[in-house]
Amino acid sequence: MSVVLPGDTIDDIDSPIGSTLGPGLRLLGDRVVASKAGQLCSNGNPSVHWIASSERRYQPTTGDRVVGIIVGRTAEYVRVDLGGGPESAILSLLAFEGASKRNKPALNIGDVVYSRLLQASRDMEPELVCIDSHGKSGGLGKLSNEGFLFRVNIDYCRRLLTSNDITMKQLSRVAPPFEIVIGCNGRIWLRSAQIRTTVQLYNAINSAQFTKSFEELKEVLNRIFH
Amino acid sequence: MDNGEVDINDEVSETLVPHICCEFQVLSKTDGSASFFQGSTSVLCGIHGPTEVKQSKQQNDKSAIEISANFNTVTHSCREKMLQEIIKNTAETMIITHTYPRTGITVSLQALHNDGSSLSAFINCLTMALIDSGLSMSFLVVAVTCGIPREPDKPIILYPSLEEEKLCVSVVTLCFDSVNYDVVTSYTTGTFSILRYEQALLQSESAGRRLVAIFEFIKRRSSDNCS
Repeated sequence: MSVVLPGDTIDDIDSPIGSTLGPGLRLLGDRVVASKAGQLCSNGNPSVHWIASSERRYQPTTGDRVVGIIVGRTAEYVRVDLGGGPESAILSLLAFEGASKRNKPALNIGDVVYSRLLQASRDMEPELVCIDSHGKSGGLGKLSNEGFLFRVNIDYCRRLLTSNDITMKQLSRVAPPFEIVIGCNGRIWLRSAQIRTTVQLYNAINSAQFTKSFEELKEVLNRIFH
Repeated sequence: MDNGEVDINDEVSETLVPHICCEFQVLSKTDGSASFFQGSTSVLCGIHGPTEVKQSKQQNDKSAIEISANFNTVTHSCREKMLQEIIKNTAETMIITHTYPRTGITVSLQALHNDGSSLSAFINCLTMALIDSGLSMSFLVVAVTCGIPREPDKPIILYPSLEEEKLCVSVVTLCFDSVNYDVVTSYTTGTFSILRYEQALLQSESAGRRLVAIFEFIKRRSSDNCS
């Protein structure tokens, strides 16, 4: 696997105008240049390209679905910490399904909330919403306090969220029923019926990060769950 | 090396740089960290950022970079402060600070063992830690130290040890960017003729190209281990 270094011109992208440049790539004139060190990845059609690099601090990007922790509350909105810096994001209390001025969701400091970044410009505070453009929640919203929240590498989360990732599929075959929410900011929320299962899942997700083949993944998961 | 590409297994260019060893993510609480061994000299670097900064240090259009470097010298003088400023200026050319306005990036550098060529070890370690942190960079910066001996017919020493530095009339530290190999930083002590400086520039550029190939190899190896 070849690695690109910051400053390298990327020639593999056929039409830089039509495709989307993700994290780590930028357009300099008519050249696509890498701004991070890592492997060049592409996905989908129309093509999306990005650099997979080791990253621990999340950079808010528009459209990402993230898991945040509420750190402050006013009458109109709550402040959510996404793990990136430096400011916390704003989540309006009206941006929930079925919310109105009289009927606002009951959110307290310390609650975990799964939301989507509506606006993440570098010059302003990031803005979150928990509904889509039709007004439906689609799974977004407050996550139950019975879950378990932990951090992993941001790059690993992105990998888990790609459509052809085998880890989640294999986990759902081997593990007892569980509920999982993966945020693009490197946070994963887990819930299952028993604490023992949650611990097993936590170990499994952390170990699966370093397996290199499907057989190795199967062996690791079998050892954890049996 | 006509087209500027360097083969990592090329025996001739092996002699240009000392034995390099680097490890990423050595510090658990930082956003990026690296330990860098350059011959016998070793440095540790940790990066925090982009984070919140005080209003007084905040800049509206870019990130404020703060370097804290501990050179492990017995006396602390203005020279250490000046070297910190040099490292900071080098970091500012590398990092695309406009991507992170109103934030601060804190870099902590610690010398573990100093056996000469310490400024170049610091800058190379900083480059590796920045690679690990995933901050936006316009290019990598590689640093080379040359020792210019007193006798004009003796060859220039690349990466001199502490003993060799004492025998040199001048020590030149040069930093190159990884795209065009232009000079980013030049720090010299002592006196030297222009001819000797030009020789040092040419030799450092070759060593710099080798160093970029080594950095790429290190990053590739660590990516293979992780994915």
